Amino acid sequence: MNFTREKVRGASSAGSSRTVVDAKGLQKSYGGNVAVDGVDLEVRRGEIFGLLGPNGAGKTTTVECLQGLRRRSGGRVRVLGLDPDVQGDELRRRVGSQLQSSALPDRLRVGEALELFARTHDDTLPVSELARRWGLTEFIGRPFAKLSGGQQQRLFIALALINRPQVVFFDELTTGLDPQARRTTWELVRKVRDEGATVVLVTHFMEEAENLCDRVAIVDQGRIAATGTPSELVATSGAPVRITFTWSAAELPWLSHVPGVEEVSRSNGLVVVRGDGSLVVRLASTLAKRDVFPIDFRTHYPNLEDVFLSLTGRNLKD
Amino acid sequence: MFAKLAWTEIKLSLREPTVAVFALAFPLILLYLLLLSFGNQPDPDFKGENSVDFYVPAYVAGTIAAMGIIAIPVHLASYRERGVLRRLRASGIAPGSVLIAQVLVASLLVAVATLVMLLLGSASFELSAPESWPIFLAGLVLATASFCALGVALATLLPSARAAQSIGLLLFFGMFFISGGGPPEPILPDGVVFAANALPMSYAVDALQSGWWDGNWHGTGFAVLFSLMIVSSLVALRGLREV
Repeated sequence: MNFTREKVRGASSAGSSRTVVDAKGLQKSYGGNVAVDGVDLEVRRGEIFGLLGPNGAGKTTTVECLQGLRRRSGGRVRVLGLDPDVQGDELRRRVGSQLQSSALPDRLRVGEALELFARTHDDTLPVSELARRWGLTEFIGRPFAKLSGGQQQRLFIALALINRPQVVFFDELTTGLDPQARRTTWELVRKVRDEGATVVLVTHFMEEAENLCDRVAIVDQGRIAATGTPSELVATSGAPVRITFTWSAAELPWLSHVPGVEEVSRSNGLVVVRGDGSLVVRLASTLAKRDVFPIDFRTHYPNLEDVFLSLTGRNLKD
Repeated sequence: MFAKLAWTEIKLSLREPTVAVFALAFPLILLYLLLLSFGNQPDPDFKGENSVDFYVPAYVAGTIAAMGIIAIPVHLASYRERGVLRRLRASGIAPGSVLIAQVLVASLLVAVATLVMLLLGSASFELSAPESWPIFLAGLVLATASFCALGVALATLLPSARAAQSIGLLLFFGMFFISGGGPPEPILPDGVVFAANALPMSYAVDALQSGWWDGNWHGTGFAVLFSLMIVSSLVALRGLREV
């Protein structure tokens, strides 16, 4: 009896100890409309994994399928080893969720919301402790509609964590927040991860993915265009590094011969040099050798927005 | 968990003025006004009853209709529209249990409103006791069940809380004043009576008045209410799958 139990436990954790979310060929269509078109994802335990893409790329539909809130049309999905379409109830007990464009009743108070959600699970964090940890204690009697955007998000995070989830899904967590509140929220998300949960984060903010995520999947038109750490994505995208400086004293014809330079342009004394990642050091040393010491030598490394542009030919913000 | 949800919904409904107005204040004020205007003698225009015995059961039916046609659809449609149902579902609270909690709240409000009207009628207007309590109560339960089912069905069919509100108000007032809440049937023109008979509230009025006055089952009334309950429940169950 004991032996069997041990064995089953060992078997179930062996294959999936590192992989928390495993999707292969995930598809979702509505009528003839294909929202998610063969998505492959692998999220590892303890990481903050981002789905980055423009609005309408299929990110929300993807995470809703992962949570069993929508039935997928095709593909294989396992979250914590469970099939969300078959074992949805069991799965939802073990994941935390903050949904895009969802709300609570206007007149429901913070404390009541925490109490109500605490009843949905057997093993929950004490309400008072959750309220304290997420800075909600002073709003405990305030109705949902009277909370600021940042306070509502803090409440949603607290509700998502109430059942000590192993995976937390955050969908556009910081949309509508001012930059200050956004940075505070990022800190909260890191805290969630540091306490042991795996985080799957949906966002259309390049900055958020770059700052917060250990790994990012770039989503476009229902497909994954690329997956990797932000710096891997930038390094392998082929998007150029750009260097700018002002030099009006003399012509610099030798610039285009520096190894790694792809393009040089100059107007009103402002020099713009594009090239690969090795360019920065090469160019600086060449300038120094030739006694050219501009006071505003600036390097512009590509960001995930440039990666998105070079992968899809479109802007992230469109 | 369900008890907590139901209790939360009860508290929320008490904080929602629209519900309190339509469930309690509006019928009571109107009832009081009518009873003060009409004498308290048996009158053929009131089918041989006096005004208080005519209007109290009719207004109980009216309160039930207001719950089913306005309160429930507006509440649930707004939950669906704003993503409250999805939010709850993501944390393991099924939409079905939210609907059941809401039906429970509506039934409680109907019970309270009925009690207040009976007490008021007896204290100020010589309301007679129902001829048959069991038949009156059976009518009360069936009417509440069928109008709540209708409300849930409407909530799944109507696209938004705004639509639920405008359609609900229009439907309710159109129905309420010709189905026993306004001038009694004997003095209404034939066309209006025909319209009233096409709408469900007049059958709730018939079922309740018949139990109250004569202690008789109103066959047509009960049959129509029962069919309404079944059809609405089927529509509601279908719609629930797509929340």
